[in-house]
Amino acid sequence: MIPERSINVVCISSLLIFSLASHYIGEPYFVTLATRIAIFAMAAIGLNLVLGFGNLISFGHAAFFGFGGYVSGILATHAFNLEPILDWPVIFIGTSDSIVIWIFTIALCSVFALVIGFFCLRTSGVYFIMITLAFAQMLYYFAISWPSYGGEDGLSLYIRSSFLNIDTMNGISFFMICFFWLILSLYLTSRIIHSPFGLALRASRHNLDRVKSVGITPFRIQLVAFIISGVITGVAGSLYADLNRFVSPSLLSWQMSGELIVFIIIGGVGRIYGPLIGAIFFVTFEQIFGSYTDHWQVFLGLLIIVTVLFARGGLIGFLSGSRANE
Amino acid sequence: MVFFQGLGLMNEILTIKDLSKSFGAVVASDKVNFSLKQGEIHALIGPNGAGKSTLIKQIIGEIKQDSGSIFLDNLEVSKCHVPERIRLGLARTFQITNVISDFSVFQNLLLAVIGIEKKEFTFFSKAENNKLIVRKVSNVLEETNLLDKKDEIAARLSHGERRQLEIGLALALEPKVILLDEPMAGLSVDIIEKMKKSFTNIKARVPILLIEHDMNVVFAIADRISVLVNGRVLATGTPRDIKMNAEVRTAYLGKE
Repeated sequence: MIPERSINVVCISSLLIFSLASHYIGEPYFVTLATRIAIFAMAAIGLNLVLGFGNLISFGHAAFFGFGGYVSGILATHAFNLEPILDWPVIFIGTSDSIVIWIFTIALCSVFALVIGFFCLRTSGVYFIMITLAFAQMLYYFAISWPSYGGEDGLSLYIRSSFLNIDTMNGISFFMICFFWLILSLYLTSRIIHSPFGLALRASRHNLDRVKSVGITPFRIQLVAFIISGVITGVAGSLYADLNRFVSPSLLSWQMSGELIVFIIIGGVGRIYGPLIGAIFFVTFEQIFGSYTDHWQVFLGLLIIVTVLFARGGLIGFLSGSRANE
Repeated sequence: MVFFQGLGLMNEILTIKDLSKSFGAVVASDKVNFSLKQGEIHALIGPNGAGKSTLIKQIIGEIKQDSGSIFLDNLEVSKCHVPERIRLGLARTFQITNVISDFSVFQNLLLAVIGIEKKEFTFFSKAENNKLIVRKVSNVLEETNLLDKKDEIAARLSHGERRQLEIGLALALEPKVILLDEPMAGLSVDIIEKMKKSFTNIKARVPILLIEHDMNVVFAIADRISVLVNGRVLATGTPRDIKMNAEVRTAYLGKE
């Protein structure tokens, strides 16, 4: 059995080495692939905070992914076209500065998650799954029917937003930005999980009565976790919009929410690095089998069944032979 | 008020006044009056369906009373939610052992101390690095004889050890009152003896409201007993009074 820590280190460093190697041998396609993995992993890391550690099965996290994407897409479009978003009380024409975009994404996603969480967290179990899905679907149909920003066709961006003096159109530079965010979200999650807040969150996964009986209100813990989770997934969405220079309602679709859950299940539920390993595996699997057949998802389905039946701890659990949540 | 408490005139820590609750036509609590004084074990007994559980749930705040009020240390808590009441000094153990089963003993106690110290919104520092919290956890581990089981996952503890942990969780809250809901259920005779001793130790610091079916235990350790029948308090008094009470004998004890 391989220690979990080694698996984590191998995964994170192989992603970095893979993208650097692809860059030096002149394969920009693979650099983009590695960037996609980093972004998907980050989105699922956000979801894993509530799903894996709080047992809150959100089937609507695409809402945050897409919301983050649209926030940055809309800001960048206005800045590019020099059309003000606001003309009163101040004139605000949007921005193409990454840092400002991220600050906006974080602020707006927290408000958005606060609102969604406030309603959804009054339910639990299957109702929670359904109500989070309903919120995401609402946003999805709203995006489709809102013509100002492309509606069903999506919104194309002409250029990636700028970050300091770095040329973000250069694949490897943009990868490094996303990789930085990935590391940051892994670091944040691990700090949070082992903090008093994380302990209360993990305690609330099965036993709300016990949590209440020590004077903690589970709703508040879950709401704060939901906000942090939504923000991490939202920033990932913002990066994804920048990577593709395109935002469309498909980012908000329930298939997207499902994929995020699949990353977590494949990698290992309730493990900090689970979503990263899941995303690496998923994208690689898609590349390999997708080149043979368009119906590669049949094999993916089989794989998920095998994971759920025989390797509950996901790939990490399988390789390390350890229980989840330790 | 401190002055009066010193004189022993107002040493009621938990006071229940005219508490009533009905579910449809069933009256679960019928104008219940009850008090718990500093330094005592007050047992609540009564046949099944007498309304003991409903009363406990109202005291804890899981069920809202129809009328009447509950005072904790002269502060009305009738309208507070469960976590608020806990923070005001009410601790309880569950009838069916209810610990976080995939946490270690240490983590379970850690959670309790974090809760009562209001540290649950600390995001970045490890709880294990907070000296005050760890010292409090260690004290409880020692007091409940769980020091050598510190890192054991709660699910792997024996039934008796889980009970000890349950009581440790209540003590970790440094409460003003402890509600023990059938703490002896399913325990072996020698563990019951140990528990009896530890309750007598605890009551010197924290008064105990004890719900218990084992009458030997109740009459051995309770300072006062209240008998609940059909949602009403039939009698309150010392174990001797209760044994002699004719009404209680016909309603409840006489059957034995």
